[in-house]
Amino acid sequence: MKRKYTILLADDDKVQTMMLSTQLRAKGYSVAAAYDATYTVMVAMKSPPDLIVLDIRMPGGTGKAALERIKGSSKTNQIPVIILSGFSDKQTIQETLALGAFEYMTKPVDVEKLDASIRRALGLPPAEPAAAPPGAAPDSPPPDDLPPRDDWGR
Amino acid sequence: MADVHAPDTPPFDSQALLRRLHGDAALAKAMAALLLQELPAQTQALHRAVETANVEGVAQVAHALRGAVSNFGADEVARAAYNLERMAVDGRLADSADAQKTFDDAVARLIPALRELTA
Repeated sequence: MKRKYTILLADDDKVQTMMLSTQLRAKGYSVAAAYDATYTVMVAMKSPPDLIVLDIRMPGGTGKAALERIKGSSKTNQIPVIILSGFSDKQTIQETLALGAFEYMTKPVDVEKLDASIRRALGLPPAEPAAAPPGAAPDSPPPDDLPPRDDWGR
Repeated sequence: MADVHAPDTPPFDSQALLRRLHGDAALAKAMAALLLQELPAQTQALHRAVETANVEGVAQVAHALRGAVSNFGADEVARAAYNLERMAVDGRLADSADAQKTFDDAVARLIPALRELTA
């Protein structure tokens, strides 16, 4: 990457935020975090990042409300927003995409997939494939006895 | 709800966590330490929300907990949190005593396993 792009991670899940911020920094991004919806909008207005990764359910208002405000302001409406959420129902996906989200991804997310989405949103070429470190392997599917992911969150 | 916990089933899937982190063991440790730090307060907040019939609060905290533990492949806690989240959304919190106990038991099994990872 020629310049350092700034990603705002908006999620009240600190573990998820730690994981993604560490992994995205390793990929060359500058990462800021916001743990509630109001603060997310405030940060986006004050220091507009290059891209926002936004959770739907957060304290201080919903992620959807934050998305509406971000897309409704001329100061921030050009910032691509990737939704990263535990919800995977069609209605939520359609609503957020209709509000202007660039893409909708469900948790838990693999950083390579998120990076690919970020690159698409920023108009960057795909990352060069990295050699898998020891212990790394493709994600395994969830166990059969878990509630179907499509049903989680509703 | 059937008790899906089997004594031989580890409370979280360390291999799944490492896969998700592309083999970064130091990050796995740091995440486990953060989750250990967050779990008691989150669990307390969940109980407080249930006691005060704070539907949105239960759904919020249970949802956040589910997201946090899902990175670890801690399916037992994730499932228990999901059940509480559903009960809140469906207006069935008054009947959630068993679901809370299932959640507490799952968290009680997860904590020592996380401590081992951070040791």
